[in-house]
Order: sequence, then structure tokens, then C-alpha cells
Amino acid sequence: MSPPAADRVRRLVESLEGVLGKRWVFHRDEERLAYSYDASLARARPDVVCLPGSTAEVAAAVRAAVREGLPFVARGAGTGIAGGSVPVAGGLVIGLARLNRILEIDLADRYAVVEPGVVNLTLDQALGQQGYCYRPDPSSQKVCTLGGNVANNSGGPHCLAYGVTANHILGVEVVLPDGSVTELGARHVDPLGYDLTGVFVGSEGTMGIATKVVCRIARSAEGVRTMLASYARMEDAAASVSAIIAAGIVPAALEMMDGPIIRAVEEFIGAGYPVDAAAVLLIEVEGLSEGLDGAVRSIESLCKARGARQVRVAGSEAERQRLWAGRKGALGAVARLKPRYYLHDGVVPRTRLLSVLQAIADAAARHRLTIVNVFHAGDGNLHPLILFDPADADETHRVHVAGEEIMRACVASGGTLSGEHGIGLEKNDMMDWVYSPEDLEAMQRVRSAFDPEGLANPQKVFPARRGCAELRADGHGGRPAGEMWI
Amino acid sequence: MSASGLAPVDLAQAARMAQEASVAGQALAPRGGNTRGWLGRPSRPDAVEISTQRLSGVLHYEPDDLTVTVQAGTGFRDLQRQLGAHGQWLPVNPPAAAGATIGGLLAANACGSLRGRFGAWRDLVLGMSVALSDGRVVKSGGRVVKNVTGYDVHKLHVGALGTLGLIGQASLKILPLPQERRIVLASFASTADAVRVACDIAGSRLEPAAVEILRGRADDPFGLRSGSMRAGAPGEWALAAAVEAGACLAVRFAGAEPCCARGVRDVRALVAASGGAHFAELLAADCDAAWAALDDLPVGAGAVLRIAATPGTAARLVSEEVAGTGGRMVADVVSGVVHLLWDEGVGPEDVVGRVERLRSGFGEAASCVLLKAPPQVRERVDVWGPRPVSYPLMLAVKRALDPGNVWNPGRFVGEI
Repeated sequence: MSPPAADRVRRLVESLEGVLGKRWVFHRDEERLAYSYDASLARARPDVVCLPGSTAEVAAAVRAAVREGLPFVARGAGTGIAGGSVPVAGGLVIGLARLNRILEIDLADRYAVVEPGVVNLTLDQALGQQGYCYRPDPSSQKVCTLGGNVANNSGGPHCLAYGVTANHILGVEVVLPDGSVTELGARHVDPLGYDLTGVFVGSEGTMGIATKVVCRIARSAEGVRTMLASYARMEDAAASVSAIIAAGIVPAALEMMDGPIIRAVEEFIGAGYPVDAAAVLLIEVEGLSEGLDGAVRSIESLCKARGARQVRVAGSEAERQRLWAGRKGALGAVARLKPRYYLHDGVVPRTRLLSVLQAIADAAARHRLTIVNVFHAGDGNLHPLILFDPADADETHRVHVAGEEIMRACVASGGTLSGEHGIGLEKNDMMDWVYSPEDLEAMQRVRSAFDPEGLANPQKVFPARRGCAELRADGHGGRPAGEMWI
Repeated sequence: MSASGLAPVDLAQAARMAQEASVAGQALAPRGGNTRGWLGRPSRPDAVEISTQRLSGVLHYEPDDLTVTVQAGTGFRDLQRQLGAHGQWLPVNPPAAAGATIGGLLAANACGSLRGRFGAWRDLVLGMSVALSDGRVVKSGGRVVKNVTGYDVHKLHVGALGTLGLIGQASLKILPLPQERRIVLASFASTADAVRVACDIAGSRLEPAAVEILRGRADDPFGLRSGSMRAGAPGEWALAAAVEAGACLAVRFAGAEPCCARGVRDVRALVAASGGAHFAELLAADCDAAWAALDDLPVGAGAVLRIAATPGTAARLVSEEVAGTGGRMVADVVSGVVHLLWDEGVGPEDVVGRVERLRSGFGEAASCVLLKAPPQVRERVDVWGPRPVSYPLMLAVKRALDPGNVWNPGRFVGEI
């Protein structure tokens, strides 16, 4: 670090300590290391880390960083898979773990106000006791935070029927990159003026830091049926997905897992999946009791007509929870197969599922790799996991080549780079596969309206033209794969 | 440029026209079906209209994807017909949809009461291509249902009234047509009773498609009998009769037949238990006629104030406001959107007074937009209301995307 930079960091530490107290400001090497990664492969150490306890302290921290010309990066639980919270340009990491209170739940008005560090499941459980729910349910919901969900416009299995995070956020209190505090949106629908909330959600921390989030809450469904359809051939499972959607049925969730995932899940979790199947579909329908049996029967006959060997309906809530535990824990189970995996998040039009799955299988064969699949089939949101051993340099190289081919196949089918994980550092150099320079420039201009200096989570989302090697240089340590979710 | 207006053949030409306008200091006013000229502040008198009439048609439609990409000038009803041929629909029910275009409805954020169940435009739009005033055509989003690739800039254009650019095409989420639709109508002597039952239904697990409270004038319930509606459809007569009888509750269901039947049954029981008169259950063609009539009610007057509040606030407003105004009311208690309608009998002074009173009463708890109003009212009150706290950011967004201030200047919130 050059001396002037060291001076700026020293001054930043001093002013943060002045506002937050020494207890909540961290700058020793080992402390910085702890905030240098998320669940992606990217690593970079911040210069300073702080944990503010209020909106005013977040604002003060932002002002302190920008006064020194240093960038700042907001961090929730660090479960992101695209490097969104990795401080690649150094500067200040603002951890939001202390802002973890549910401030208000108003059932009659159908909203809850939460701080950004509230864990997704914590809100859902608080509502569940009263017959309500918060719809978006990322697989990481036991640990991921609502602030992080807002930054990444997170998805989850039940987004098929209910939409993604953006559809459930009414408003946000935001600390802007100049350190001022404003409110976007409202507690009701259709706030006056431009839909700033709509563009802020999913902006990956590049427009400011959400310090309060107004979440729309919903009445939980009266009844639910969960079923597992098993197949001897993956293509029959994919054809069943298309058939269900084409028949005019929109289940609450429609998830697919392939043979290797099924076996890993069974060994690790024991969800009751048939270990000899080439693929299973986990299908859930929700709603009024009167409609459920009919929906289950239709889905069952559609699946059987397309070659399902067996369709099992969960007979109890415990059995249902077990089926879901397998799905939500699938990524952790895969960690048993190989030391590491590389995960993609491509989305394709639903009618292209089969052909893109074939392209993935072809890429695996061509590059002598094991690729396994567990994904949100009903949304066309693929999650191919390419397994590898980082000690094997040649294999690691082939992983990147195959990954790129898979993403190109998604884009060529009319799809896109990421359905729910975000662009972050991982896919920013692929952005020009789907957007023209003009498209990206228009997005940058919108960003500049919020962040003229470009100090809010810089080098994310937009192409930065770094090499993979640089990004992934310090390697394959970090969060164990067993603590990842998709 | 011709004073009679512009009609680009494609979006690239629209962008070139906008760039030329920018150089010349000329303002452009986007025009779709011209069904909502009443919305917002007036266009600048020197603004040249730029029409999407030649930007029309479906660009991409694979029914099994449950998405569709259309050009902005495509008629809303034309699109519904094309989707309907494949057993699908776009689940929005804007009022005054006849002749309206997709681009116009997006720009106006014209939703209806189905939004609580199926989402509003911002929830259904997956991507957009837009002509900017620097001559560029830019897109955001895509045509897949989940997408976090880049910013959702398209959401900024929804409801922006064409002040950031010309929407050229949009990709939208669509749904299978419901197997069945039904409407239950009930009337109550007291509005408070109607509100209580409506809130019970909205807060139940019945998953209604819409729950609305209608309060008409006894002599002319929403013009349903005076000829402004298509005369003679039994569904409309039933609606008119229910409105005449007091505060009317209209509950719509859309879905599988057994679910609709259960919904109707439960609503009936709730109405009976609270002393309301159960009026009619409408099915098939009767339901269709009443459904369309209900969709159009919110803008059926010369002056209309649209209040968006939380559902609880909206319910309180409905209970309290009716006695005070003598006007008509259409209230969606699921989403919290209430339309107050005033006829010519209510003078401009009264309208201004009521709008100001409501705005000061609500403060930031609701947005109160005067959708329609005679000129004497518009002169005296800002149709949009006070600027929101994030107005400086809105201005910054406008300057970022339309630095030459070409697109519909002056018509939007805070004179943007």
C-alpha cells in the first residue's frame, strides 16, 4: 500500500472508531481475512471492516469512506455465489449483522418492516405463527439476510408461482453513496414517481445500502401437496416439466435433481429419494383444499404419460419436510463427491430445457468432467455444478471452458446469465453476451444517478476485463462447500 | 418535423427522431392508443406527438414458455385475443382498455383490481427495449421469467408516462386462462358492514381474484342503467341492481372450478352471517359482462381521484369517506387502491377541497393522484400531489436517461 493510501485508511479507521467505537471497527489482518470472501471463488481483503448498529451509523460509515475516496461494500451473511460482497477494490466492508431487528409486522396492512440483517427464515417464521408468510424462499433462507436478498433480487423454489424478491418489496430506506438517507417506494403499492425501488432491488449494492426493507406479506395457503416423480431417463423428467406448464398448471414449485445429486442427497441427508433414478421432480401445489387433489391427479398422469416410473405424494408433513430437506441441502451433499465444484445459474426459456440439458451433458463428455444438476426446472433456471479437484490444473482449466460453453448455450437458447445469484464479479465479463455496449452504458447512467463517484461496490455487475486467474488467484479455500445453498 | 406528428416504422427510427428532436430542442410526446390523455399534467403545447401505431404486433410467442414479446403499439385486446387462442392471458384488467396499447398501459401503469392476485405491470414485465433521446435503442431484462442479469431499468419506464424514453417492445409474463370465473355480488345497508366482510375475504385463504366495494348514487349506479354501458347484458343489470341496493361488495374468483365453487360458497356464508343481502352469483356470459363492466368502473366519471394506500388504510377510508363526499367509489381492498369518482354535480371548488383534505389527512401514508379532472380543477391543484422524498433521485434518473429533456417534459410528477 502506498503511503497516501495508508494515510487514508488510517484516517478512515480513526473516524469510524470515533462514531462506532473501537469495538465495531476491525482492521487487523486476520479480521480483514474473515471478510475477504463469500460463497464464490473470489477473494479480496478489505482495508477496514465495520459493523454499524443503526442507519445513522451506516450513513456515517459511508461518509467516512467516501471522504477518503475509498469504496465501500455492504455485506449480509456472505452467502452470495457471485462475489457480490467481496471487496475487490479494497476499502470498507460495512457488515449489517447488527441491524437484525424485525421493526414492524402489520397483518391488516400486509407489510413488515425489517432491518437488512434479518435472516429470511426468521421473518417467515415470525409470520407463520400468525398464518402469514414472506414468499421468496432462497435455499439459503436459514442464514441469508433480507438485505442480501434485496441486493441480489433473490429467488428460491417457490418463485415459480409467487415471483422473486422484487415482486415482494414495497420500499426501502437507503443510505446513498453520498451518505444521505432517503426512502424509495412506500408501504403501499404505486408510490408516486419512478419505480426506484424496482431498479434498486437487484442492483447488487452498487446504488447504496438498504437500511430498512418494507416486505409485502401474504396469507399462507390453505393446503399443500408435495410429490416426488422419479424417472429412468433425465429427458423424460424434462419433458414432464414442459408438459405440466403446457397443460396450464403452475405449481408452487417444480424442482429437478439428477441421478448423482439424488445419490449424494440420499447418502448425506436421507430424504427418501429412489437411488436408482436418473432424475426426480419435486413438485408442490398449494391453494384451496378443493383444488389440490385435482392438480395432483393431473400432474401425476402427465408425469406418467412421459415415462415417470413412480409418483409419490408425501403422506405427512414430516415426509414433506424430508423431501424438501433433500432439495435444500443438495448442494451441501454434493460437496462429498469432489473437493470443489463450479456452479452456474443460467436461465433458459422453459421449452428449451431439454436441449440445453443435452448441451450440458455434451460439454461434460467433451471436456471429461462430471456435471450434476439440481435446479428450478419450472422457471427454466438451471444450476449445473461442474465438479473438480483444484489440485488438478488441467481439470480446473477444463471446468472454465465447459462453464463458458454452457453459459453460451443458455444465452443462445434465448436465456440469460443469471436467474437469481447475481452477476457480481463472477459473470460481469460475460455481460456483453446479452447486452450491447449501449445497453450497458444506459445501465451505468442509471447507476450514476445514485452513485456519481462510483464508490458503492465498484467493479461489480459491469464488465471489468479482469482475467479469471487474477480473480481466483488465492484459491479454493474459504467457505466450505457444505455451507452453500442454491 | 411535421406538426401532425411522427410515426416511426421501427424503434431505431424512433431513436433517430428523438435524437433530432434533442438537437433541435423539440419535445416529443409518446402516443399509443390515446385512451389516457387525461392522465398527468398537460403536455407542453409545442410537443410533437410520436405514435407507436406502426410498432405493432407480437414478436415472439412460444405458448409453452408462458411469456410473450410484443411491440408497444400492439392493442391490449388484440394481444388478449391472440393469447386466448392458446388458452392463455395477460392477467391485468386496466379500466378503459378498449383501444389501449400495451406500451401505453405500461407507461401509464394502468392496472386493475386483479393485481393483488396476479401482480401489477412491474411484476409482469420481464424486459424492454426503449428508444432514448441520444439516438440509442437500449434493452434491459430478457424474456425468461427469472433474471438478475443487470439492472431492471425497464421497471423505471413502467408508470413513467413516457418521460424517460419511448417503450418500443416488452416481454411479459403470461398465465394459463383460468378454468372458470365467477362473481358474487352482495349488498349491505351500511358501508362499514361491507368493508368488514370485504376485509375478512381479502384476509382469508380463499384466494379471490379481486375484492371490490362499490358505492354508487342511487339514481344512477355508475351509469350502468343510463346507457354509458352496453345495454341489456343481464350481468350488468345484476351489478346495477346490487349497487342501487346499497354498498355493493363484488368478489371475483378465477381458477379451478372446485376452488371457485368453494369461494362462492364461503363468501355467501360470510355475507349471510353479517347481515348483508346476497344478491347474485354470476357465471359464464353473465359473469363475463359484469367482469368487463367492473373493470371499467374506476374511471367512469369526469373527476377521479385514485388513492393508493395500505389495505387497512384503504378500508378505513372507505368506511369514513362515503358519508362525507356523496361521490361514487370503487375500492380494491386487496391492494388498497380506492377510486373516488365525482360527477358534474360536484363543483370544481368541492373537488379541490376534497383532494386537498384527503392529501393532508394521509400525508405520506397514501398517494392521491387526480386521474381525471376538469381544467378548472387542474389549474388549482397538482394532479400528482406533493413530491416524494426521493424526488431528487428521480430528477437525477431523468437527467441520466433523457439529458435533453425531450421525452414528454412537464407531464410527470414534480413537473418532470
